[in-house]
Amino acid sequence: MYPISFFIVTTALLFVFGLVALTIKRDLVRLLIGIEILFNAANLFFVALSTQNMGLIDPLPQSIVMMALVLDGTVIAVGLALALNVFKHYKTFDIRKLRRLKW
Amino acid sequence: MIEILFVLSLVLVSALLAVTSRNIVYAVIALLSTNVTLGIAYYMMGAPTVALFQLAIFAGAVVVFFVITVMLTTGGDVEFDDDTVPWMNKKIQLALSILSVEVLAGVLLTQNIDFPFQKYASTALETLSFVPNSYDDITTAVSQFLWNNRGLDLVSQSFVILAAVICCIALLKTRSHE
Repeated sequence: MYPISFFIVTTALLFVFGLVALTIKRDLVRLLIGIEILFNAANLFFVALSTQNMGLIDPLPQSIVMMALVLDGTVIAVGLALALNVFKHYKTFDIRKLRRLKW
Repeated sequence: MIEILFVLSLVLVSALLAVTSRNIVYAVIALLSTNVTLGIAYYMMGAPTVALFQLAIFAGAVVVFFVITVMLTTGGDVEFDDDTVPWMNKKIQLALSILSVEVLAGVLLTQNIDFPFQKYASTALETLSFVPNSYDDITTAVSQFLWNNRGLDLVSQSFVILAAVICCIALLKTRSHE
């Protein structure tokens, strides 16, 4: 069993990185990278908390995280398909130029 | 103890590279490194099934989707002159970074605190928790739990994935007027 503080710090930093990417980046693909980092932070924290019982393994959080991983992959796939479609129409990934969302 | 610190620091460094790299190809490669090292961390924490899913889905499929997207668009040529929004200048970025580091330092200093939310993360059913002898025990327990207790969720999840696949096909198909 590893100390929970390692995982708290790692999760918090990953969360900050993902939020910074979502806040300051203008590229649609980079925004999706930021979202994926946020997903990773949440999953890591969940698994880390589930392994804090002394020597015990709890299958419930692991199975929930497994399902969350599959759904996160689905979200990213749909987001990338949307990004490809946006690029096909507007020839750019710059979200400033996509403000109007008008076809 | 030192090995998990090494792996977690690799996760952080590669995530930072994925966010800050100006070339999108390098960013995707850094994201791949993040996902692989996170899978290793899951394995070391005693979650081999989660590690397998992490490596298969995030380090495999999702990174392939990113690479395909970059290939089908302009590759590493998409570079904007100013990557920041106007109000997010260097001083605000620095202030936010210092604030986050201070918060994290505070968390580190209070690491002996008894987190009340810890008990909510694990199930209250003592019968589910067990002492594993090997990774095979963990894999078997998680698989049995998934099929016995969360079977309906698995079936609904397959419908969600099917809906996502149909959504992707509908988004990517060529329209007749084009």
